Amino acid sequence: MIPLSYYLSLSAILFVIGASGVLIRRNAIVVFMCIELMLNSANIAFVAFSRTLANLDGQFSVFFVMVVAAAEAAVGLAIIISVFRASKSVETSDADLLKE
Amino acid sequence: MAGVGMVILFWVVALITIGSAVATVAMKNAVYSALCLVANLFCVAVLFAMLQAHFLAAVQIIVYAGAIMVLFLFVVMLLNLKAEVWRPRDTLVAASAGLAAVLFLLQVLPVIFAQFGAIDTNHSDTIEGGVAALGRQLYGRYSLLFQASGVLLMTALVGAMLLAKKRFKKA
Repeated sequence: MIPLSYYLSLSAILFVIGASGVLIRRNAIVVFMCIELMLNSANIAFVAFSRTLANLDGQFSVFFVMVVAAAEAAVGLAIIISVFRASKSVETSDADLLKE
Repeated sequence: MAGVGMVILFWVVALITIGSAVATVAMKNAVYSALCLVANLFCVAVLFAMLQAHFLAAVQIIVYAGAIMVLFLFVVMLLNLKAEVWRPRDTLVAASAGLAAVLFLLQVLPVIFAQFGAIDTNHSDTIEGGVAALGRQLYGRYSLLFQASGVLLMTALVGAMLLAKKRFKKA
């Protein structure tokens, strides 16, 4: 009914929206949310392929991607909180201590 | 499975997914962005359920929309930020990113439709989805990966606690 290419193109569109969000936004938390968007687009592609090839391995990949995304979100938000405590700002353009 | 119903559902869910993704990127207020992302994750869970990955749909709602996004919202509301200021340079950045996005899609979408256009996701020999089949393999074939992800979560937990801890000044 629904061809595989529809799911894959949805995954590509979501990935591109997430990637442009990472480039456009300056708020570090919103950048993080766009990274989660990209991870979700990869998950859609995994599950679509798993269904097409009738193989459960794609669903396991999604499971482990979700685990890694949860761990990364926790640590990343902790880092953002630490940076905010030091510099009172979460804008990515304000984190320039290592710049020339 | 009703044919036309599934196709209509797919189009509606796909449009809401893309719309909420664009809203996540475009909203100035970080709380609105987070709420739009929650809507996006819900739609992705619906797509998982349409692809007969019921366990993953449930895990997506419980873990992603229910735990990770709550964490995001906690941090956004703790930090109590003002909305982003729109600088004149941001228009150029947004236009360039949009152009790059369109060019990428122009490259990738024809390849996708040429390569995978004919393959249908609906199979008569359906895979044995659900919790039982996934659990059997998770504790069998992927048991080492399972333990490793447990260690990873523990490490992330300890690391996040250490990073976010308040430093108490010694008297």
